[in-house]
Amino acid sequence: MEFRDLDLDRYAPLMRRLMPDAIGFAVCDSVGLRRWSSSCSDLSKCARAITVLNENREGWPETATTMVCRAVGEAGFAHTLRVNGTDPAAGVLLVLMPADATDDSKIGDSMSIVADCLSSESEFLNELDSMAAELSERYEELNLIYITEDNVKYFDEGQDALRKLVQNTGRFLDTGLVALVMTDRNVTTSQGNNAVPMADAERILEVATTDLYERVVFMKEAVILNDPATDTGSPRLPKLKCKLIADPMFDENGAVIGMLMIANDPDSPDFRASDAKLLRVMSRKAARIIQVNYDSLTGMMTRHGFEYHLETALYVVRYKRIGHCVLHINLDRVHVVNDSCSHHAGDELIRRVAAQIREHLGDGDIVARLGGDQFGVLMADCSRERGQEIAERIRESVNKAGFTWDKRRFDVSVSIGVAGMAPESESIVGVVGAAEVACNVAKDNGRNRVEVYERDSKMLMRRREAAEWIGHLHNALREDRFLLYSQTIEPLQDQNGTPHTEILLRLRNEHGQILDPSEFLPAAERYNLMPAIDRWVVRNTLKMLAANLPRRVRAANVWAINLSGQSIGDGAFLEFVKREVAQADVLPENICFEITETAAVADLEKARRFVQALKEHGFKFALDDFGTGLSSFAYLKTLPVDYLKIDGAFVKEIADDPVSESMVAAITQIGHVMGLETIAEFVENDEVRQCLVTLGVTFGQGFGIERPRPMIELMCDLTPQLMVSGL
Amino acid sequence: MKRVIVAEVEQYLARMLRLALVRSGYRVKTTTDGNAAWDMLTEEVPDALITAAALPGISGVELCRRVRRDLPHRDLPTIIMTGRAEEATRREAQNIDRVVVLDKPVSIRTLLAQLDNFFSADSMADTLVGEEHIR
Repeated sequence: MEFRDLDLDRYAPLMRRLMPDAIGFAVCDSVGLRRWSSSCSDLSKCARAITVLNENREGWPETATTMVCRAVGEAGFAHTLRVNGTDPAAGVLLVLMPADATDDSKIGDSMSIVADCLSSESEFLNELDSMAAELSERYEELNLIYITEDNVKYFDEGQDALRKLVQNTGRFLDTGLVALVMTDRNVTTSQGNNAVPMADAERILEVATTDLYERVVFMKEAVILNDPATDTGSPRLPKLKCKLIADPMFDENGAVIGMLMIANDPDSPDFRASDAKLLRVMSRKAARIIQVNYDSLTGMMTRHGFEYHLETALYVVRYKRIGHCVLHINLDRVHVVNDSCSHHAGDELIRRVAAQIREHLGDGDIVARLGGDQFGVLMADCSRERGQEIAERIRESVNKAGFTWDKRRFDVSVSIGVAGMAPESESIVGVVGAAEVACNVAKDNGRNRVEVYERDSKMLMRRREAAEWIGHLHNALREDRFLLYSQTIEPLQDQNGTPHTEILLRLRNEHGQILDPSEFLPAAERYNLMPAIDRWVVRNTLKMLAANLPRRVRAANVWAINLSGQSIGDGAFLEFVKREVAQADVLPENICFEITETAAVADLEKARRFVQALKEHGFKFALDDFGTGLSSFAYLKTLPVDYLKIDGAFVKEIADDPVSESMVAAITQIGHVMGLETIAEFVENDEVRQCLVTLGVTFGQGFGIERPRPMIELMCDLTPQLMVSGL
Repeated sequence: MKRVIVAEVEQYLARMLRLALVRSGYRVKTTTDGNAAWDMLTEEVPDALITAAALPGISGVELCRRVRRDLPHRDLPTIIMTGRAEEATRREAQNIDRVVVLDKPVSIRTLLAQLDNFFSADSMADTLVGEEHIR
């Protein structure tokens, strides 16, 4: 019974009415201290009675009965007070009667009545107090839920909202520590209202972001630890001196994107199910905010947030006259991993690369996943040179790390574009565009590299022009502005050997200029136009042959046509070629397709099947640019080719450089053993030619033998007396 | 027992505050009107004042100013509760000594913690003064 809540003065009139003869009344608490006494003239007598009472404490009855003690000159009556029937005594009601008071039972009855009233009121007040406590708690919780904004559209709102969510959770709930942990282990924390900051907060956070986080992700439900010492799941959790609840945050697909945790001192009351429920509400709100602004796979912010930061950065750049740097990073060929393994593997790859990128960035740098396999980085107060440096470091570490999945190892690389944000930059669209363009240049130039955006770079001009190429090429196909050229492949060992000819492609542009393949093929490849171009070449070569040469001449040569990687993947190509060859009345044995290693690399097995299928019909194959690829010999073993074209880089030097010579010799030897014929490219002069003859190379091709010329000229040469139809 | 005056128009909030304060051991007087609050303050200066920013009659901030101008208690610990739109109030209040501004909806816990802060600072100041005297 809490005496302070009871206004005992109000009971004095009742007591006097019931016991008019009494000298005085007093109430003591359970330890014998006087808590109240009626205004009686003889306070000292009360005091004496109380002292006597206390001396007889062992004699206090457990049940509420009246005890009597006779002190000098007075009779003291005591009645125990208790709140609930079974609780120990909360105190004692004391009535002082004159010494000669006799009617004990009447006094006892009166005292019972008063005691009952006091008990009832006390019970009632206790109830009220509990309800008040509950109400306060609910009030706080409700306010917390009202105040937490989760319907955020804009990035800055989201950041703010998350911060406030964490702060308010700490403020409104009775917690020592609140922590919001994200997938990338980034943590937002807040201390609660407790005057004493939670001891060990750092330690708790450390375990929270590791062991506890993993547990929550695994279980996909809340973890309540009121006594971590009893936890058997992990080695470190039992050592924590706190009570905690951790609730997972889910995205719309049910994947865990983070965790919200509250922790309290070990002396505070246990966390209950209702606390967990409230935390669930808060973590759902947090999840909603995060989803708008953060990518759930990598924990990085989304394009949304990135653009917000870029806007702010541009503003700073203009008014503070400092420069920032923007990177556009594109993961090369993720589809290879996705197709060979599964999209889970692809996801894991993206996650790892995200982590690798972050490793090279400072605290002030912003990184975002812009979507798919693209990332954006903003480095504040950073020169373009420094940006390039860091980009190079990122490129190198990603490439070095590679990716292993299910015991398979993949080469991984990124293409990175670097652009500076200067006071002259007009808008973020311009800067982002510049970084993207530079990244595309990096891709065009072979991937796994870093390119810096230079406003007037030739490279960039060409890149921009490349985009215009799709239009050009489509027009060229339609308007038949492609041209066929030819170059002899001379038999070196046997003067009477079958003549071979390689068919080459040129393009006449709108201004009448003749363009080399290097000027239009990269664009054609990039925009998937190669299959159409390859077919054009095959069809028109055959047409030329059919129209200009008698059958026996056609059959006396081998015509070599280049095929791109994109055609290798084309399932319908075989049927197409068969039709064309039949229509032109040319035998498959007279056609040789030249394919490069790089063309086959995307899917070696597919390439092998392609070559096999065509060979079964009699077509021949040459492996072009042999020696320059990374795994030349592996391809050689797999692809059943007939000719080996030794890359010009080796051939050029063989007259002067013994190393080149020995390389060519080695390749020739292999060809010999495998029963393949060898063709040397870039034969620029007689000296080289002679060396090749000595080394036993079967064929030679190059400016020193014959320069490429319009195919129609060759047609004329082969049949001077017949009319030719030009192309 | 410390005495607190609560001036708040919203009844339920006044009730919740009274409940929490009483349970924490404070003696509470409440009013819904600014002028009545001023009368209470002049009659018996409390140990702390909790007031809404917006009150009929005299505003919460005005009450603060008057206390510091007219009453000997220049540094009466005060908590002003404002709605979200009242930026101006916040700015005004920031320059007054020993005033804390809390946003509505107010966290009772925060409010009680703030009162604790006020009073523990007081008691520290007292002990320091006491020590000086001894020396």
